[in-house]
Amino acid sequence: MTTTTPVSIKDFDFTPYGRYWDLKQERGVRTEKYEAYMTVDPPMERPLRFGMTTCENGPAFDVDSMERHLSTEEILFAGDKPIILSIAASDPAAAPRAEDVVSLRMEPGDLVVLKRGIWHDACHAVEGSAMYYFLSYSSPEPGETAWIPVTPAPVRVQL
Amino acid sequence: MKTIQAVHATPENFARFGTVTRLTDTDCFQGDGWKCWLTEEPCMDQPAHFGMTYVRTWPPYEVASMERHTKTKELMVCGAGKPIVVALADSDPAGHAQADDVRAFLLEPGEILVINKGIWHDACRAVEGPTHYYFFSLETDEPAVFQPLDGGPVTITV
Repeated sequence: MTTTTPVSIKDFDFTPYGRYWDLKQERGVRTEKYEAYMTVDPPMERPLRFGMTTCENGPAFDVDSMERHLSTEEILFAGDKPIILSIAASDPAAAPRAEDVVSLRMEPGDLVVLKRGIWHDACHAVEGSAMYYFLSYSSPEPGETAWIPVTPAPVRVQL
Repeated sequence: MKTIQAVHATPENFARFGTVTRLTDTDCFQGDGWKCWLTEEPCMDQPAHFGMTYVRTWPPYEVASMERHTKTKELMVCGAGKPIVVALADSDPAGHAQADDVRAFLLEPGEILVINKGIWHDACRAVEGPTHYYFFSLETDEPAVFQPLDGGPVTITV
């Protein structure tokens, strides 16, 4: 089994996988009472379903399967704590390949939109447990949300 | 000065203002080490910009002005594992928000609020200690301007 260590999404070229925003680099207002930031463009191309995930894991976890959606982009952002997003730009018509797996650390304020067809695992906590949000709208076709094994073997993510 | 105590948002008491959804009331999907919940339908009726706000105020606080958007709904969700509070008014969107119409709602982590077009609203605030929240709304050609509350300000408590 191969092992990988997450890198910060702030230092990573996310372009092949979709779009990335560091909200704190977007237009913002800072006062004593609040700081507010907003994207210049809508990150979504159409209305999406809204989701929340809670996760809990130890200092290492295995990425053993992934899903990908051909019918929808997927928006992801951290909630209360940093999270690890594992993705792969392998052939969406086949299976995610271990050598393509990349693990990215996202902080609250980091926002991504995954392109259609990008393989992704559920996100994991950087430490202990975390909660994050996602938006998507998959077609009901079963393959759209099927979890496919990573080939030829899982990838271990060491935090 | 009028004082308004925030109450927990429920589908019934929030119906005049929009919708509240407790995500954990929907079917749960799960895998090794994770659980997720997803709304049955799209959460909004059109694409929207994405925003994030860090707040450093909490009750009791005064609301002296509000904004409203007549061309977009607005979704609000807790960022951290802490509740937030928001003051709203369903006064005429063509006039000003009226102090008598102001209500305040508590939103817990795991719940999403979507306010209807035209609903007057303050920024969300913390309940205790600094926190952050996220929002989705579509920026349109309608300026987002905070306008004075008629008969205000009001004090929000929990």
